[in-house]
Amino acid sequence: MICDLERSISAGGSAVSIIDAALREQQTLRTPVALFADEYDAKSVRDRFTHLIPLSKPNLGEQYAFEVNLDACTGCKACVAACHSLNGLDDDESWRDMGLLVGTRKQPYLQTVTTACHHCADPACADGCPVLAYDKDPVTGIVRHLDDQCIGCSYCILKCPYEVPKFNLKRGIVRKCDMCQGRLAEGEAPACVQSCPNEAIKIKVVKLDAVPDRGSIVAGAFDSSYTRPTTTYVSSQPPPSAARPADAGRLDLDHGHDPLAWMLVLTQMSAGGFMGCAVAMWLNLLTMQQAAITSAVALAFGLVGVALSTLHLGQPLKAWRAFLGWRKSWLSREIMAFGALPAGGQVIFVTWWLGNMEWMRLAVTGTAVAAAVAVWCSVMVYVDTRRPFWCMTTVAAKFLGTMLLLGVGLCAAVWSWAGMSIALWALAIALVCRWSLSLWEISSYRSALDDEDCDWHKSARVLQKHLSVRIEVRGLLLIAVGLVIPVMIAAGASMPWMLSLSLLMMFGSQLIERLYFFTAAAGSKMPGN
Amino acid sequence: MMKLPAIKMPAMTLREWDGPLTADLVREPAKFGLGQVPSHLMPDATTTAICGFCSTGCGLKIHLKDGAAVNLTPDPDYPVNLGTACPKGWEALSVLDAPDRAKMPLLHGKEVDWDTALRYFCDKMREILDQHGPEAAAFLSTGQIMFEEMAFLGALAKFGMGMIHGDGNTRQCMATAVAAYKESIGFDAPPFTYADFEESDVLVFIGANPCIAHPIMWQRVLRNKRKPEIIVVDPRTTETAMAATQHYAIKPKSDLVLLYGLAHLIIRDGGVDTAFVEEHASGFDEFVLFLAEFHPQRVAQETGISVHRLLHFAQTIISGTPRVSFWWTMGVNQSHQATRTAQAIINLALMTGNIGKPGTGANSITGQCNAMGSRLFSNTTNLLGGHDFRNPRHREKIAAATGIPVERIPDQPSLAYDQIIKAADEGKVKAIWFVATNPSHSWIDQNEVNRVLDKLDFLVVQDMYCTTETAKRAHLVLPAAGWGEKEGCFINSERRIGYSPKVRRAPGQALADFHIFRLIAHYWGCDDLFRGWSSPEAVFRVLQRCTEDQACDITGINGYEMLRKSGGVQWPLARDESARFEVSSWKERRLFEDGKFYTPDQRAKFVFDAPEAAPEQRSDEYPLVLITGRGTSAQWHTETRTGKSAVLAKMMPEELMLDLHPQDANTLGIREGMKVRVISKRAELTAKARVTNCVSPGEVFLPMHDSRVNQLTHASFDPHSRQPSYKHSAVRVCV
Repeated sequence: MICDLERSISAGGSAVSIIDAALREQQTLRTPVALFADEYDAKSVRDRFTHLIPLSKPNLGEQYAFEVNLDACTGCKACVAACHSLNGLDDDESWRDMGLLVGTRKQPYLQTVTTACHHCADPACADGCPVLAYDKDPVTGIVRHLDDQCIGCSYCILKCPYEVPKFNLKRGIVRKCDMCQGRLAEGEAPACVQSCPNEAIKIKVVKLDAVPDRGSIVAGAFDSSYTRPTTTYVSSQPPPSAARPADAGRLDLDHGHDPLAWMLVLTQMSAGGFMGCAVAMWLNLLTMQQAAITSAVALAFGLVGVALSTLHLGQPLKAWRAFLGWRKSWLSREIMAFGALPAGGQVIFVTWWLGNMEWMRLAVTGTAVAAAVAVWCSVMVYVDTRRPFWCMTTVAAKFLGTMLLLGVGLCAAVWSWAGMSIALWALAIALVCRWSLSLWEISSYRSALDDEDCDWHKSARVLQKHLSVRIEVRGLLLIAVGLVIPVMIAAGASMPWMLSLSLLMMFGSQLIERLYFFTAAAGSKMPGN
Repeated sequence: MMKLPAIKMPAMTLREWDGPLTADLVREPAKFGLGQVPSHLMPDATTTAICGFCSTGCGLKIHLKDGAAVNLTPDPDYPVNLGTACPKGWEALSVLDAPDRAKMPLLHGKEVDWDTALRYFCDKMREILDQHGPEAAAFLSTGQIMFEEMAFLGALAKFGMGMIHGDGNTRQCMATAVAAYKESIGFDAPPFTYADFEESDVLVFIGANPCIAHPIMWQRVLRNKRKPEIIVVDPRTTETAMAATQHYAIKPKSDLVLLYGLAHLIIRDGGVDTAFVEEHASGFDEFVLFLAEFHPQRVAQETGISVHRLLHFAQTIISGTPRVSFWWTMGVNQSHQATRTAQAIINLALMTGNIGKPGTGANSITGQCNAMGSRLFSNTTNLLGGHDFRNPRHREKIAAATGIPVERIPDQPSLAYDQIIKAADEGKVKAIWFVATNPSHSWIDQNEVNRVLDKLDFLVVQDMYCTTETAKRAHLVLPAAGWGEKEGCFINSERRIGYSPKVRRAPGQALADFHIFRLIAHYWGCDDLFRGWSSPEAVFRVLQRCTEDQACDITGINGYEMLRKSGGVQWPLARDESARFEVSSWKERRLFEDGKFYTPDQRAKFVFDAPEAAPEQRSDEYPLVLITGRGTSAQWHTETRTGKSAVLAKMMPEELMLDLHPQDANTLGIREGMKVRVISKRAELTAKARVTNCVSPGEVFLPMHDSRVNQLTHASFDPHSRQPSYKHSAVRVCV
């Protein structure tokens, strides 16, 4: 082939025209024929991997599963790159990851571990999804994510103990491994199976009964009883008992969910406010007008909280489907329960408009109960993820404690502006709440930090390493709210201003706690590096 | 007026099983044997390229849309990789799209047009050469570009522009294997073919970590159905050592003693193939005498391997014969006695007759994709085609083959890399032209080389990226097209010549190195010399003529089309063999099946020397030995390319990690994950401690990819190959 550049030089062209010829040639691509392109009907990829995938579909009571031969996995990470390329994923997106198990001084060990979705028999992601954006295929058992159904709430990310679903910021949804189900349907191997130089990854048919519901699939993985993951890791040399993930000692911050932190604190304050209002109404301590103001303020905070929570969604316009998952998803239930806030608010408004104190009392009480139920759903949303930091006692104490504390604080502030004497009582209760909640938090943090066997020891260490300044700030806020402000009130400072300031500081303290509630969660994952 | 984006309301069905987001991930059946591919990357044709990272030389099937590459998959029909690739290969295209690609020539950091750049380049080079003589300017090239380009560079610089000196970054990786093979077997000829991995009963890896550095070669090891013994000699417990059946964690740089000790035991225990040695080798008797003092007790003491285990090692070799293969790479090549160590490996293969048969060989695994091409055609140490600059007959032959007047061919070889740098420090070399290499990061004792580079009157960098550490120091940057944006051939570790096509347009005004050289020839005014060098394939034909009657004779290759159709061709293939060439049976060929070597007497030579201690020893002040090497399979050298892929970035540690033994960590009060200072006589850096048994007490390891690591390394060189010794520097570690 005589090229442009050469022709130009032979023709004795000017320097510039020769450069132009070179640039032109650089920008010219040859036709496929000139590139010795491959045959259109070349042998299909299908025939090369028949020994690595099942020849037939699973029967009833069976499903597809990954099997990884650790002896053959040497950590080349081709599977990670191939998943990205063969599935046309975004820049740094891949549904396979590579981790490392290490031994100890006495038991040296080094084993790379390739990992993707385990297509669990009992998928926690699907159970948690409020909009049913997960579908476990009845025949293959593949846990597929419906990308157009997803609202981007990220709850599946919190639910999955293997860190499988990944948030795709560009699209505002979660995406995950589908075991290349379209390939399998055509008798082709999934991308990772195709790409492994050592054939370490296979697709097997497993019996659902035989999927273990105890132990863990590989050292460092979460207890299988939660989701019954179907991946099996096989090896001729089982890892020593002391094997642990190479990143086990790492104390990293988890992803923060700021809108959720705001939502939780605001809705809990709102629920507490309604409860305070209801109690005071039953004790006949409020006039209708005072009750109306108190519940209006509580409602306003609650609605702001609910509104803020939508900032957390990648696809808020699709959130209307959030009721779909109510059978299994605590998030779905929480969303519906908080729907009671605006409804309750309207009923309260109508009863106030009609001037019926009895009905209004019932309406406020009903709203308070519904809001408390919603707070309980919030508790369960997190408890249901089985993260040690989010165990029942901790979450319940934090959420219910916040509800009481800020609820009473809110009432105290509102009532003091209305010049009511019960504000003092509310202040006293708020102080008791503040001190008991804080002392409980401090002591449980201390003991979690000291006790290596404590379930959330790692979270405590994350707090100590990254977030100790926040804990100190909360300590100062405690002194201010629990000591300085009461003393100043006693010394004659303006009650309404002092109580509002106190509320603001208590709110700030709880918000700080709620932000690190997420970042220090130390979620479980498959072994990393 | 601002246009508001259209908000599409979601469907009002309860569940959306399909839609635009689902469509993003739809895969559809493609033709060309690919199976399903992402719909948005559906190819209308495919072609095969050879990967441009390491020397394994994998075939990559490039998916083309309107002639341009949109994706790739490993080629199942290529005899090297059989349908697999490592992450670097998978990501070979994405690194071409990096935002810091050099798009225009940069003169003193400012964009200029090519005309200005080329005029400046020629004026400046001519001024320096005219004023200070032909030794005042040098080029330093690479094992990363096609060999037609390398040959063009070597010919242009030496025959056209009149330079004497040029070398390549292959000095950092393969110079030792070259020197060792040449002296021992008469030509730089790695004897093996990858099938030997599958046909060995015993594989001995010395200073090699193929699991990470050559994953696709390791695939071939795992395809071995003979249940082989896999022996790894490495101070570190690498991934390969973990996968081995025997691991000998020797003290750093005690490999030469170990190899002599094994030879001693093999002689003692009757493992010598006497018939082979008598017929095909020379110098064995002297070798036997020399080995007398390498008795097991001494070797055990110096290597840290017990006598019992040494015996087991030797016995494994004896009982595995005649299917024992020896494989080495940088752990051997980068050392102060590298050539003798490589030759000690060759000696073991010779004395046991483990060469020229299936599953045998003293086999150097090469580093870069075209290190082997550089060894034959870079026109630096050797005259084109493995010839000798000093030999007048060779000069005549090359003059005839290339059409270059013989008086233009220098009668002396180039200085080696380190000698060029030294000459620059002494002011003898005033200009250096770097092509596709990044010494400001990769050269040993980096601060020192950077000091020298800053002294140059003229520093030219020709590279794909304008952000390499070296490009940032350059007076002139010439923007080059990368792999996939130009065509030409690579030669892999097993001597296989493979063709790689142009499947992408280069960004901006970047040009193929080939075109840059052609333009420089024009601006220099030596067009006439390179009349016939009109395209890479034309140069390929010129180079074929240069190899005539050499060990590496490739005159039988019928152009690029034959390379493409036969899955690459291993050299040699002489003209008279061409007719007999059959793709199926000639796919895997090894050398020396007839026991005839390339020395004048056709006998291989036992070469040996007394072991010496590494130049920089531990001291009270620097009590630890620093070993450097590859980090992960996703990283390549100075990461000018691999650093650009987001997927590859996921596979690397975010920070520089220092591997440290728990015992040393205890003594120093260092815990896992702590920030530590690593200090040598030359520099200091901070890294994160990884406390691990994978290194022995007294040793630490740093991956070479971090740009600071070579500030620490001690510059010492093998006297025969001039290859830098990256594996033994003294450091101290503290909090």
